[in-house]
Amino acid sequence: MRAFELTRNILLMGNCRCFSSFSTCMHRQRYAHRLELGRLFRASPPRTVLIGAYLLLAVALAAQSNLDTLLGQARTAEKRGDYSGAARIYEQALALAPGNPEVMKRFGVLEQTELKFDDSIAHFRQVLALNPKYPEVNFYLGVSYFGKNDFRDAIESFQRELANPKPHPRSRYYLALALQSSGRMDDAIGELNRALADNPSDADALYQLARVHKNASLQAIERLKAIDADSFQLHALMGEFYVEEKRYPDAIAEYRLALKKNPGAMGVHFSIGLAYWVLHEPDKAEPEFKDALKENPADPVTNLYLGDIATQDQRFDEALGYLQVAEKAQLDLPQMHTLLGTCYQARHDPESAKRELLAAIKGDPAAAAPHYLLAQVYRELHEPDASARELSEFDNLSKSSADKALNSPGGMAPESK
Amino acid sequence: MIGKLTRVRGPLAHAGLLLLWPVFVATPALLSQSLNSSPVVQPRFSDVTSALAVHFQQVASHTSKKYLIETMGSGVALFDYDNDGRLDIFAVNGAPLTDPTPKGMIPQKAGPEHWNRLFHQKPDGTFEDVTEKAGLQGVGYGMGVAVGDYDNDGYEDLYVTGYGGNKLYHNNGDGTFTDVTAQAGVGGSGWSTSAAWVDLDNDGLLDLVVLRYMQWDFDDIWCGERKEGFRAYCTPDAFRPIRPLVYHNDGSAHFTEVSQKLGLSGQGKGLGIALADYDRDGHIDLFFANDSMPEFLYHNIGNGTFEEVGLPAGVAVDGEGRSYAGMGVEFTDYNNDGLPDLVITDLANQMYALYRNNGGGTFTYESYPSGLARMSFTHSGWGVRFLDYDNDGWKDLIIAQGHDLDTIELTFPNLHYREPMLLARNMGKSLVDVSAEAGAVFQQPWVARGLATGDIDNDGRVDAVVTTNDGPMHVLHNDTTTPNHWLSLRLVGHKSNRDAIGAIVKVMSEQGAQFATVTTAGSYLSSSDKRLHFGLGQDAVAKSIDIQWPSGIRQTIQNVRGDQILQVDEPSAPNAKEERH
Repeated sequence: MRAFELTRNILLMGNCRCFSSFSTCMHRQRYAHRLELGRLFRASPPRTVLIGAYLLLAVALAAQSNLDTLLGQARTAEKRGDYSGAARIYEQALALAPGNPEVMKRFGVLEQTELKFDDSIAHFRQVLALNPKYPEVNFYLGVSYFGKNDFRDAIESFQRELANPKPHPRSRYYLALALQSSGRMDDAIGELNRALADNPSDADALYQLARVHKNASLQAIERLKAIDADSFQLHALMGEFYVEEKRYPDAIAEYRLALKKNPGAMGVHFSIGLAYWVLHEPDKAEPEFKDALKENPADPVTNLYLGDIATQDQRFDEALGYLQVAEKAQLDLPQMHTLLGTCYQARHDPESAKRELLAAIKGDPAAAAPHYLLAQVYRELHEPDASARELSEFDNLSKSSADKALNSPGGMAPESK
Repeated sequence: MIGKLTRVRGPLAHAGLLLLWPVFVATPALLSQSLNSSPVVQPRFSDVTSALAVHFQQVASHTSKKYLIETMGSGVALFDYDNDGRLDIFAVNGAPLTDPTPKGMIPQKAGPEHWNRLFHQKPDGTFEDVTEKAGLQGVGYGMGVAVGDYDNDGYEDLYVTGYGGNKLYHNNGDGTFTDVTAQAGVGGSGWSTSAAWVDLDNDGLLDLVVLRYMQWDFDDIWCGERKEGFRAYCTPDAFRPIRPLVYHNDGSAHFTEVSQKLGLSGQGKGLGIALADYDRDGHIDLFFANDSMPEFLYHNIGNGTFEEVGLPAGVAVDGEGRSYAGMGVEFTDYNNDGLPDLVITDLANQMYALYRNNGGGTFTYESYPSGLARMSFTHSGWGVRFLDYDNDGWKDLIIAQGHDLDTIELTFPNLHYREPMLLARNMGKSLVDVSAEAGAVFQQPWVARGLATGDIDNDGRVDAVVTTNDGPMHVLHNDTTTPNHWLSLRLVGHKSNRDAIGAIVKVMSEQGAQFATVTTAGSYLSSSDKRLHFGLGQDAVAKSIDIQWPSGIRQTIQNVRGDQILQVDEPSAPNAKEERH
């Protein structure tokens, strides 16, 4: 009996957390066991005590060995899906080491797997009664409560687990799920964001975060529909939805319906213009951007798009007017400088064109096109060496870009074939 | 969000000497004369395919794997194989593909539905299928065709390109052809596309330039969005480029591959080829239309080698410094200034590229000022030819259209897989889209690919033949009613290659000068009538015809009556002058 007690204590001191690699865990426990015995030897008087200690050690090691064997068998049974067989082995293990927390924890996890949430909760609670911070048990307890749709207890369990020094890595994620299920959306979003702060590539957390937001949006839309299925707000919102889904014609239709409801609504003309622009329909985009400009004549982005369209259409003077407004607003985009460079070049002002194209290159050193345009400018400035240099740079950057594309097959943009 | 860049505009003229032959330079006085004094007539084309008994269906063999080869279509040739004075038609066809097709497989034709087809024009103008008699059924998945009399025996031979190997068919002169690929050593490998017959070294024998698309195999690569119905054909960006094949005609029915020796071995993604002496230095130059990478302009240095000058010449990219999906190409003097210009078709949202030849070795991107950019912005072009449909003396533009992606409308609803053809009237300095008034045939949505032109019924109006991807071939008869006169020239070389490919012709009439280069190459995967057609407008007579033969011989013919097909034989004298009526 004493040997069992000793084993249990040693197991507890081993602080085993790694359920998935239990053999490694037990190895660590055995190492701790030897340390504990070492302390015992140093503290005890010689001979008689030593003999007793050797006997105790032998019994403990034998019990441990049996337990290891049983746990190994249980694991094998679990692996092959023989859960009832595994349960019987855990029961044998508990008979060999009654109250062993690791065995109870593993037994609880097995029961959880079999959706026997009440049984698993009972085992987890027994473990926590022995050690309220036993590693990961609060997490598994929370999962069992979550399985029972007992979100309040699940939340409390996950929160207790998170208070541990090394909580189970999925604790925050499951806490978020429980919060979401109990309707506490803001708290759920907060926890998912924290989970992502810990692991930015947590696909599950990202997925849930997207779902939460999407569901929240859908709920709001449903409420909007209930209020007025033909409202400005609903059409504008649907327009934005379709833009996100790249369904631009549908988006444009919704925006137009929104405008019918509220002809003076700010920003809708810009959105329509942008959708047409993305669809490469500048003739339709331009009047929308011009209407948007009436709402805010100094808006730099609207001016930039109008400048782009006018440049495409060879209306360089007009383009320059728009682009200079954008420039005044300190919109420092390389594309704006490229457009300005083109306009100045068209107006036979190569020095200004050069200045703008150099600014474009500074803003985006990897962009090839400004070098090509600058080469034309240098040619006009009768600087053949500089022109050749820019053409060479253009060639290098183009090839580099082609190499990058070659190394990422499959991600084609349909418009570029 | 702003992704658009900028464009070049304004002259890109180099300071320097213009190395032009005086005889072929259009003087300002000539240019000031308006050829457009001819009355504007309504263009009119009709689909006479069934009436002429031309039945051809291209088999693309679409699969769920969306192998790129399925959407590229195939070419067509207009040529007179039996020298009866009437144009015949040769159409290239695909081959069956399994779904999936194993990597490394070379598809083979499995039956008559996959055969290439030769249609012989009968005296009544209708056609008969003579494929079997001619022995031109073909073997693999065919792509392009090039017509040229490589042995100068007076009969046009055929070179058929394809995936996995090409075929050279020698015209026996009795209505049959013999596969001489192995003996000639021009079988090639990889994925060949457009080819051109051209005498690169002026030895009087046609050499052969064969473009190849890229290093490609039947790999199962998913492109496009990963959802049902959205799988798309891959962009060429996912594949490595490859060098072309250049075969020197050794003169004994044998060829030697010389691409590296000639400096023509740049790695490209070639789809279209055209030729012209763009700098008028007396040596024929080459243009390769590459898909989604810089275009290649190969300048013939004159010592038997070439240098690639696309970038400094200003034709490698569009005016904004962007590459585009170059497919079909024409190298023709569209503005009658004596210098060959370039037009290259590409995909929607890219705008067809028109480069005006400035002289001095440079070009200016003219897509915007010419109006071509605006009219082509939402279209995808393949086969392209300049043809003067109304004989007003200005070469108009006809383009076979249709997007390469059959899923394009899912992403861009304003773009279309099936598109009508484009017909643009040349106004001298600009182009105007006249497709809407050119007849019902220009309203029908096709997945058009190959395009060849020629006066099929010898009525003085240039017709066209169009292939469609996985669809029928269409014969478009030019019904345009015009009072304008015309002149068609059939040049026969003697010291030069017999087809006179590379000869430069200047036709002078009261209304002005026009220039053309003899070639069967150009467009996309196709081969057009080698005869040169000139609209004379209101002039019933051409004041003079100046010919610069590839051999260097110059010939002038004066006062040539219009409205005729005139055969001109290469003289033996270096500077021949004669009068014709």
